[in-house]
Amino acid sequence: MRPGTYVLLITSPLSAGLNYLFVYTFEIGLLGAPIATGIAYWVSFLLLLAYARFVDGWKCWGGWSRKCLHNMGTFARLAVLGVIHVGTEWWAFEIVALAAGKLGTIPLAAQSVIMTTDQVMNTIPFGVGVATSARVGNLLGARNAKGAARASNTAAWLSMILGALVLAVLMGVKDFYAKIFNDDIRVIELTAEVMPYVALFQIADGLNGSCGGALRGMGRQHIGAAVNIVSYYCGALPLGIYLAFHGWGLAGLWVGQCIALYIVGFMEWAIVAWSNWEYQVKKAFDRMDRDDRAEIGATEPTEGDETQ
Amino acid sequence: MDSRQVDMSSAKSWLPGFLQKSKSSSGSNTPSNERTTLLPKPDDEPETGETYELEDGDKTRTQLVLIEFWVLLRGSIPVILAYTLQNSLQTISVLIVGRLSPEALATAAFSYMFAMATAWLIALGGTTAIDTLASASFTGSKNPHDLGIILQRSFIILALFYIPVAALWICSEPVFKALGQEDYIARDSAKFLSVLVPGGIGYIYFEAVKKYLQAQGM
Repeated sequence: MRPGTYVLLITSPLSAGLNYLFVYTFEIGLLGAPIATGIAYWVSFLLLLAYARFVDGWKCWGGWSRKCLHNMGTFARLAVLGVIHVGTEWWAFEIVALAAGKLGTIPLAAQSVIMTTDQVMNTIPFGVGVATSARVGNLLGARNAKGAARASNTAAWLSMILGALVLAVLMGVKDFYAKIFNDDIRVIELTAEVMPYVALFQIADGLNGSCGGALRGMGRQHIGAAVNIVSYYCGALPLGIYLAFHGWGLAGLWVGQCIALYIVGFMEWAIVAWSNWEYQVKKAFDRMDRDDRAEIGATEPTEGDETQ
Repeated sequence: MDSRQVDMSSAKSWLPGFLQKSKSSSGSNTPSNERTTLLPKPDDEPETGETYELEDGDKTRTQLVLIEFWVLLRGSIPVILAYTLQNSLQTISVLIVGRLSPEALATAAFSYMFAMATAWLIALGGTTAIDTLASASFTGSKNPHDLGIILQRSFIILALFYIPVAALWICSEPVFKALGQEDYIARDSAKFLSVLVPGGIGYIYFEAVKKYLQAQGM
């Protein structure tokens, strides 16, 4: 992921410059922003391609091939389930934001502060998750079932430690943090009141991120999606909204999210920890294009050991 | 920084884990002492560094977990940084255009939020298929071009996923009105998103190439 970071270090200031140029210098106004940001996205894409082409990463490319039109079902299935897995969580937070809008101006302002903070902090578990999926996938491809199991469990602990650090930081700054955004004393007080719940779920959010990543590395997006749907949409959101409109206010919404994240986190961890890793290795090879598997033993998907 | 990158052909030579293990158990029968190296390496193996420890060797369980911890931490930090910067692109855009007027601020913030919940979701969720398929193919497939094929597939399929989103963006004004947004936000956000349509595919492809490189341990 290093190349992506380098590219963004270039395009992030570039995007700021382009935005200013299009909105103010060219006097396009509001619509200058999407033009400028769109250009910045394309520049990022092209720079990253240039990195792959001229620095490192080109030997896996091999040019356009008709083969890309085969076996599309496997990719499309994983992609759809991946969208649902990630989306069910994001949408749950959007629904919380919408519900907070109905509670009045002060809760909405406090919610905006909290949501902005949480979105920044969420890059940590999400990033750990992405790194974990690549690692687990690499190890499964190397037929290292034990290694993949170890990587997943270690990732769970790593993400919980990082979550605990975020928890400490959020608890440390909760009383004066909202002042950065707003001077209203009621907003600052409400943020300080709700922040402990947000801080509390950082550990679970970490677990959720890393174990979700491990599941995606195994190609089990559907499990993550199912766990999310059950715990957010059948549990946390109804509970949170009920609490919010029955005396708990904004805190109720976040208590609901907090409960959901702990359920999702520990359920996913249990599923990951009790995975049949040898079977996952086999599954990883089954997903590869025929004739390209590294070992002859794996070329026949129908081979003997249907353990599960 | 990428000297650590594994040479494909020699990476293959130590791929079959079970073969490797049986070889080493029969081959190295010298008793270990305090001076025994903890990371016995075959002579032909290149310096792979921590990011590419795929074999167990003779390490104890605690050492293995600590190494894994370090590998994951080192792998995660650039990913987290990249996502933070990626989000900052639109945050900065909102801050700049927001100086026009409060209405422009509200419209831009709402539009990017909607983009996040739709197209960026395709980018971040849809490319998890690359995480699954490409990372296992990189170490498991005998044809390195499989990764390129997976990337091509992702370009085609994610573009297909993007078509309905782009259509929704262009016709979003009545949708936003139905969702109870104020008239000016519904109208201006629909225009804003229509202009963002070409950029959205750039965002998705950027994420796909990023995942393609990451599957190679970069």
